[in-house]
Amino acid sequence: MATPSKLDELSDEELMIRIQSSDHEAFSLLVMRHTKMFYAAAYRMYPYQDEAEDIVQEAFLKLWRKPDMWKTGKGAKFTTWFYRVVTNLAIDYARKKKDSKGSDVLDRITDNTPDQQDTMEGDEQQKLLEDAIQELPERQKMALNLCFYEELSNKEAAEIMDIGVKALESLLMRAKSGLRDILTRQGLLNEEESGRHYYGS
Amino acid sequence: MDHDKDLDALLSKRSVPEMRSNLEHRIIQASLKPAPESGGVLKGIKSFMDGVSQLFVIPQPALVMTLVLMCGFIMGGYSDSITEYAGYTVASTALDAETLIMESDIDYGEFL
Repeated sequence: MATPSKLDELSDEELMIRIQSSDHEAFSLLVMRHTKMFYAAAYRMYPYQDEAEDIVQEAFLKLWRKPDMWKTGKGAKFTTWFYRVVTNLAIDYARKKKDSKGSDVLDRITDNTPDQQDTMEGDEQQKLLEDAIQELPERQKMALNLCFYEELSNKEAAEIMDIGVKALESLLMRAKSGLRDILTRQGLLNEEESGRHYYGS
Repeated sequence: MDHDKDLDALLSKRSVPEMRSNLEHRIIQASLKPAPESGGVLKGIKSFMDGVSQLFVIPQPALVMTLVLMCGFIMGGYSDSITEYAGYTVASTALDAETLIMESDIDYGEFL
């Protein structure tokens, strides 16, 4: 068995192979390595802090209890595969709680912002921006999150979403176009100057 | 394209609140606990029914069946006659009982 210092040097995929042999140390290391990144991904899909944390926890526990879900033979990159697990869980959460919570995303965001006068305007912009992104259809939002915020390549994002690269590009284009409309309507992008300036910059 | 740059600049202002510092430890701790049973009420009913059906399980059906058959044959050998048992006359079938009553009547008649 590898010592902790040696485990550090292992790739995610090598850790996954160890996890498949019930190596808890390898699992702990993988959790320490990626929780923050996947929490951000979950939050962007479903912007509620507590639920985003629950999503990441549930995804990692799923991985620990059923590590065979990750197929070694296909040469799948761990992060690509796990993005799919996390985003699918986030979509499930969003669908389940849609009726009970509605779309009051803005109320939740206020909880985590500092209460200072000079950040008020920024907070307001932040709320409107989040609201605009959440208004997008699920697939467009996912494409935007993966490509723009997670900075994945189009190929990787397409693989996660199980679609072709061209379909992904089309989703991205529609997402941006839709966002431009919403943000212009909200006054964050200046309509008269064709989006060359935005409010609060 | 300026149009896209402005949109991108605005999008890049989106922020994610910091997660709680102990989330990683919470996940690791949770992974040490056994997985919770899922299935709810239906699973509860099923396990109850399984428990009840276990009460009727015969551990060695072939042996039990053989013993039952042997008992049946042994008992059957004595069933078609009136037998004396510990000083009492025992009737094992309805027909035997009728014969016994008739005999008794005859006995009583002679006695009276």
